[in-house]
Amino acid sequence: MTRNAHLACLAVAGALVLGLSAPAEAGRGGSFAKIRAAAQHGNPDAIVAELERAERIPCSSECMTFVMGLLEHESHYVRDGAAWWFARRPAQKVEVAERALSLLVTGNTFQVQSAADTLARVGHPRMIPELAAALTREGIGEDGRAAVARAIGELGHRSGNAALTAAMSDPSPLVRRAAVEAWSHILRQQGAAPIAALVADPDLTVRRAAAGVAGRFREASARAALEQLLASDPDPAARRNAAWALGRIGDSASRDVLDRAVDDESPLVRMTARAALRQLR
Amino acid sequence: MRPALRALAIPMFVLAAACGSDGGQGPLDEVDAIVFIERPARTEGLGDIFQYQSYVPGARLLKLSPPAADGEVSVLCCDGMAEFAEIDIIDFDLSFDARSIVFSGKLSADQRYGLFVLDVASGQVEQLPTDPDADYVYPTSLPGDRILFASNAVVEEGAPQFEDEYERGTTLQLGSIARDGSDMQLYSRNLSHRITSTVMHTGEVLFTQWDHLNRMNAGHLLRMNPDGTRVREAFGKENTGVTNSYYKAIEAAPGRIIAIGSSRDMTFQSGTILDIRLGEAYEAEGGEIWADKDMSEVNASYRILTAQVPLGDEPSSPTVGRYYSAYPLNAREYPDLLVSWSDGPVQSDANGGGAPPPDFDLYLYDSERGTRLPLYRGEGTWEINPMPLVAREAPPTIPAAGGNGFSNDALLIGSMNVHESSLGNLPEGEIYGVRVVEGFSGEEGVGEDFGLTEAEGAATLGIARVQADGSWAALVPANIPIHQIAIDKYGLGVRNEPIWITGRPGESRFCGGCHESRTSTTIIEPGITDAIAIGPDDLMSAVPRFERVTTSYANPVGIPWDQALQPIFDAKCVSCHDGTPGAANKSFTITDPETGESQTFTFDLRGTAVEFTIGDEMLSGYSASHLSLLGPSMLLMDPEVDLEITGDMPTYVIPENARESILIQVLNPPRQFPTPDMGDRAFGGVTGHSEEVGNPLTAEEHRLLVEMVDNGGQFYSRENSPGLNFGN
Repeated sequence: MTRNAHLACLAVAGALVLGLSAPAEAGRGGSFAKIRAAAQHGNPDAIVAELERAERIPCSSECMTFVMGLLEHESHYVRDGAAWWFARRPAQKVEVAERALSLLVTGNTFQVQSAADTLARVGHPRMIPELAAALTREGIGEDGRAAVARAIGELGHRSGNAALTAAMSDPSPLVRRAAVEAWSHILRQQGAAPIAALVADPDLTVRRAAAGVAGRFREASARAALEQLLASDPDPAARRNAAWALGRIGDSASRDVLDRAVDDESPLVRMTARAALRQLR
Repeated sequence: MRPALRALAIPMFVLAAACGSDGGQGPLDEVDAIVFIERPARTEGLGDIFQYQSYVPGARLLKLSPPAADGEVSVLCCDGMAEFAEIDIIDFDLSFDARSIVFSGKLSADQRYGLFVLDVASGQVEQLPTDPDADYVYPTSLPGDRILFASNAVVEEGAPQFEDEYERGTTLQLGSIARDGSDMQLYSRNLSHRITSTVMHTGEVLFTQWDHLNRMNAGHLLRMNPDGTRVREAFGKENTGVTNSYYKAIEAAPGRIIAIGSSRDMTFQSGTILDIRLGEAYEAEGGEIWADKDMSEVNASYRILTAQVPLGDEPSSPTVGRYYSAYPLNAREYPDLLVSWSDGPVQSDANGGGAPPPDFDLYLYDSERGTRLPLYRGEGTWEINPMPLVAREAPPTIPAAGGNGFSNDALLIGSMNVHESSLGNLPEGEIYGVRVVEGFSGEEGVGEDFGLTEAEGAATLGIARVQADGSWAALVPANIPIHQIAIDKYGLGVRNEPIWITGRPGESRFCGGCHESRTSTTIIEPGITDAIAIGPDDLMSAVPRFERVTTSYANPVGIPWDQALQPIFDAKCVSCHDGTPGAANKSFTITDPETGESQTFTFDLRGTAVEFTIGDEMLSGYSASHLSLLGPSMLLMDPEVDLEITGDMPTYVIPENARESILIQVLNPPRQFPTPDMGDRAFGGVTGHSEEVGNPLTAEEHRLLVEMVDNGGQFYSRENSPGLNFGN
């Protein structure tokens, strides 16, 4: 056996002993060195795992600066993990939130996107006006605006409804869809009336999302548009979502269109239509 | 069709060992074909075992027939179907008659994982009717033509789904639906994920639950009835386990489970193969080893079938690798298994960032010899979750339990005799009642932290009175995580086990005692106990989630630190405990041994924002009072925190342990129940510190402090949740 093979065996044996001696806890054992090493290797899963493990470690200025840099990592997963890491540190959370608010005003599209992702974790509902303003800022691309809409949803406060409603008229389907999805994240949300118009959106991903959210909130004002979607949309996933939503709304006036959908050509639609028929009043 | 074995580069010694078995009947001789998933390889999105939203288009369900390296591979689903052109498939299960397959697939990046039923003979597929705005994964066939699944859909209409504290994912919970698409049911909710399930010979379901309450943070195996009732522990909690998490469990024989065990994260949802015995093991007919006698967590044991695979999150070694899944083909002492295995480190740090992903392929594994016989390898794909395409005997259908007799909507909980406990019997009369606490996560507008504590959100639903025979009963809201604390007449916790329980509407969840033997009977009949004869206490059983808040501090629900406790400190404590060093305000100093920097903090019960930094980090953004009472203990909890903490300030609050917390011992709380009596004190005498210094606390104030500690020491509750209360 070579020396390397011997070492490998010893490492495995050691790992086995370690594993046996400390079986139960996770979320411990992190360090700045491990975060930095994971970032150098570059796998987002590993970086976030090390951030999670280091949730309580004291952090030097070098460490703080390093993790701050991860707030602008190319991976959304890493940006979100770094923002969570700061959110668990209430004092730094304030500083990070202020920095993000500043970037909403001065940053380019990617910086606005990163700032919004940060605020989704460390923000407060009182910051919604600044996020709303970023939605209409000149020169901010759709990735930035969509992230802002998502952040408003994550803050979960009904004072964000006006901004989300406005974002549903954004020229970009990416932003409109993000606004629709964010709508359902608002706590104690009442209805989904602004969504109804998007059931007939020209973009199929927006139509799919709008139908789903209209169904979630049993939005009766969307019924006619949903029936139209189910009857004639070329996209089977949109038709499926429309059938599901009509079942949730439960109006017997939808029976005819659901009856026809039971024989839809797509396997995505038929069983959902049958289930929806059972829900009609 | 194509050859099963392509470009195999298997080490010769593995092949030789696999072929060198005893020459008798092979474990796959009776199997005409196996089914498995071919999933595009990936380096991201499977960072911990509970992640379920990884999406890379191009997955297929394949059949290998015969199940051998020279077998033919055919596509079961879903070539040639436009809707499925970009599908990713996470898991599947076969019906008991082997005529259909239910699988979980995601059709495009903007859609969610849904459930699909494939007719094996015709190749026809139908999607089951699920919420298009939610994910449905890990399907399992149930007897009675139903399908169990895990989903992030929410059983409570209008409530947000719990978010996991660490991975921030929307949690998965369990539910079921009839195979014809009717009768969707979502089961009760744990505070974190519930995943991967299997049906046992009894008809019960075994699944993995992420348990997190204060410091506990691990994936354990639990059992339940297939309708989501009678959830209880099976393996991993009571020092029976060997690693952090157990998942992808499949029953090999009655009471005998094959599962993957690993660290919670970093291992691509793969690990070592464990042979878990849920009860006493014995040799049954045909030489099989069964383990269904006295199935109870305390009687459970395990055997590692892949000895060299790391149990932690470190990289594995060449030729050792890690196992993604294992399907038992028999129940010999050392069973033969269909496995999905990858060579190499199979670890997030080592695979990724430019390094190639793991490469899971299919093998027949002889666990006695530790040898792998290769069956199939794809190019740039993972071959996972193989299982024989054969009919299986369906387990019995467990009939739905009758209602609890008191409410069709609420959950009935209770104990037959709280004084019976495996942790040491409690003296008669010591327990006044049981405080029932609801748990919730930060998704209710709190954010990512409830304060300088690891405890989750808490809302006291009420206190159920223990009756003369030691029994108690309460009606509580169904479908939510519930924590029970047996308390004495001073309101102090006597037993505070770190577990959440859950139950469905109309269900009855009675335990025999207080952490009593799990194998003894707990069937409860009306009138069998005083508590049932008298009738259960109603603890907010019909109060909607967002209305379960404190309306009077005489009966606290949530205890918002800044609103409920700080006024007490301001009125009665800060005249002395104001941060001025001295006998009334002890200090601690934290020193960073690396830099030599240090800072001293002095006890201070004011509500001012604290400015306490070590190096460049401020350790608390909460109030000085919160840091004074909870901060030092929380810092000391993590052995990895390399700081020297010196000084004479003790740990005043031990979250979830008021009885042993110095704060409470010094204050010496009065009797609270059945009526307050300031002359009867928990730790003797007739006074406490507040009387001694001339600022006596009221009974109500004592109670708030005691419950704050026993419930976890949170700063935030629903009452001061920023998201729920801002602008109101």
